[in-house]
Amino acid sequence: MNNHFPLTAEKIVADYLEKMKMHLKGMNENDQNEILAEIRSHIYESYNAEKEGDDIDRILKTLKRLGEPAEVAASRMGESVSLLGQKKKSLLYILSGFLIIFFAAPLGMGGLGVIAGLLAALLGLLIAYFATAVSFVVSGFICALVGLIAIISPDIFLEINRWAGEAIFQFGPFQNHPQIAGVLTLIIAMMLAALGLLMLWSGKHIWRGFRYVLNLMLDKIRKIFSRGRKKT
Amino acid sequence: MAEEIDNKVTQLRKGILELAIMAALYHKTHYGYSLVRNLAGSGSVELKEGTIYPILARLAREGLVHSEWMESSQGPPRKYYSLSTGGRSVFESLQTEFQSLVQLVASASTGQTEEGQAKTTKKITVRRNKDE
Repeated sequence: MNNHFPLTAEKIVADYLEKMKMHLKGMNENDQNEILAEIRSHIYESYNAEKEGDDIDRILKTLKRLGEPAEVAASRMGESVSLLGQKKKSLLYILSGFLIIFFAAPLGMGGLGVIAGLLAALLGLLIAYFATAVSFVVSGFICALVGLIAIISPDIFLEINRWAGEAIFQFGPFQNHPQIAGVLTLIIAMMLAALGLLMLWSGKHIWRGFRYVLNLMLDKIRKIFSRGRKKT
Repeated sequence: MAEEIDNKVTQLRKGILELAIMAALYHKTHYGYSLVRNLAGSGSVELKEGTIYPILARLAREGLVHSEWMESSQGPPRKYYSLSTGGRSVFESLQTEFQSLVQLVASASTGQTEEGQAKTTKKITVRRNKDE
């Protein structure tokens, strides 16, 4: 298959179509391929019409407008396959009933706890990631400032050391050449700041991915609740 | 309550969307995305783009639309849809029926049934005669 999208967008499209294919199981292969080819063609047209944002923004907006893979696929299945799906679901209900009978509420609450814990852990990792990135940027710029001062007026540090009566500022092997230490500090500090900025920039994509996963989960939960309400 | 309204809107849309798709195909052949643009551009109805494909598939199963893959000058091939001869006549009948239904809803919502309209006309005529 030709790649009609930029690399990152292509991966997201491939993932979307793969999920859709999973939901089309039970259909014959030719029909499956035709549906997937048509949806791919639709995504391409819609993606090209979407002008706002970068590649990932555009492709995510395109897929959101199209609908979830499960929904798009489910609506394409014939009635016989839908019935098959219902049978599969009823098996799931039997299994969950069995689990509830034997393990009762603690398991259910535990399950909810696991999901909440996973989400919280993921969010914690995300926060730690951004905190690290910000600290890299801030400390990078502070160290760069120190390095610059060491280059421009190295005497300041030696004066401070002399005034304090001890070596507050130590330049290791460059103790007597603070300017060299300043240049090295500046280079390392700039690298640290650049790493922090790179982390923040790539964090934008990670955050977007997290939001995408969160939205998918919330959609699922919303559907489960609305199905439950319809039954009652 | 809001959910009930959502369900009713969904049900209402399903039938009308099929008619809207047939209406668009009555005048022109379309591929999926151009059909979505056509429908989205004609009003303020928000629709998930994926919803048109099952309708197109059903219309094709019923023999009301034909489809054909055609190469595109850019990007992957497109699947074009057009109404079959049978589809055209079905659409014409459905359109007439739909217009009658729209009129029915309009007159019912203003509280003017045929009977009511007749009475109103009669009253106006009597008043005119008195004036004369």
